[in-house]
Amino acid sequence: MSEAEYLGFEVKEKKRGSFERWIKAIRKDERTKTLKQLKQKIEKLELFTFKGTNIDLVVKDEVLKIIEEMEK
Amino acid sequence: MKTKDEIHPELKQFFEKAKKKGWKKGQHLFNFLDETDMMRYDNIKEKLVRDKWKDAYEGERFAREECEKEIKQLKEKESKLVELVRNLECEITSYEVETNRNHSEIKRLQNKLGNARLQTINRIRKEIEKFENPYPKDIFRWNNKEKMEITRGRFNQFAYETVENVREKVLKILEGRNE
Repeated sequence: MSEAEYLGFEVKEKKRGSFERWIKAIRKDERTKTLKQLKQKIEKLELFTFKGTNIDLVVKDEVLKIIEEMEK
Repeated sequence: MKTKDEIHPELKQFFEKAKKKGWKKGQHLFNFLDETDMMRYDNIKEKLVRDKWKDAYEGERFAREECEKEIKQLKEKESKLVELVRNLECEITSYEVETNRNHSEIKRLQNKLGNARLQTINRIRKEIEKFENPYPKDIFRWNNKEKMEITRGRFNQFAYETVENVREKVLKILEGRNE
């Protein structure tokens, strides 16, 4: 069963290849878009400031880097 | 080196006198000397014995004083050593106390930092969880009867799941970092 069929789409044999590519492209787009939005949300986020440490900024950077890694 | 039979120079004159009167080795001088010479001989002999004892006493006193001096020096050294050891003990104790204090302070700060990190991560997690999925979850209103290959509902479902998967993946990685 192809991915498109698994999702419930009826795909004609002739168009199966192009349809799969289309699904993959959409998934990639949605993934990129979501990661970008999450990144923006976290960048805008005003965190608590812990006296004598910059742990909040460090953690924020870590999370942003994780998202950047996922974007690649 | 003096021999046992050697006569002391101070007593030699009495023996010379006695020799002249026929004294021979082993005989008592009493029979060959007059009373004055005998008394002088006895006095000198007594003095010599006294001096000998005096020398011995002086020698012993000197040795005792030297020993006492040495004992005093040793005691001074000992008290200095004891003082050094006490100072060292004090320093070791204060170092240990300081080290323990530092360890507990480091532990406290590590805990504080850990808590701060945890709080920040949790805050970010909440924000990610709150992130609104732009696609509706419950729309399945596509028309299966039509020949159209993809409906809006199916697309929404697919896109919604993709966004949720991305969110879950980010949260999972964060959880892994948090452990």
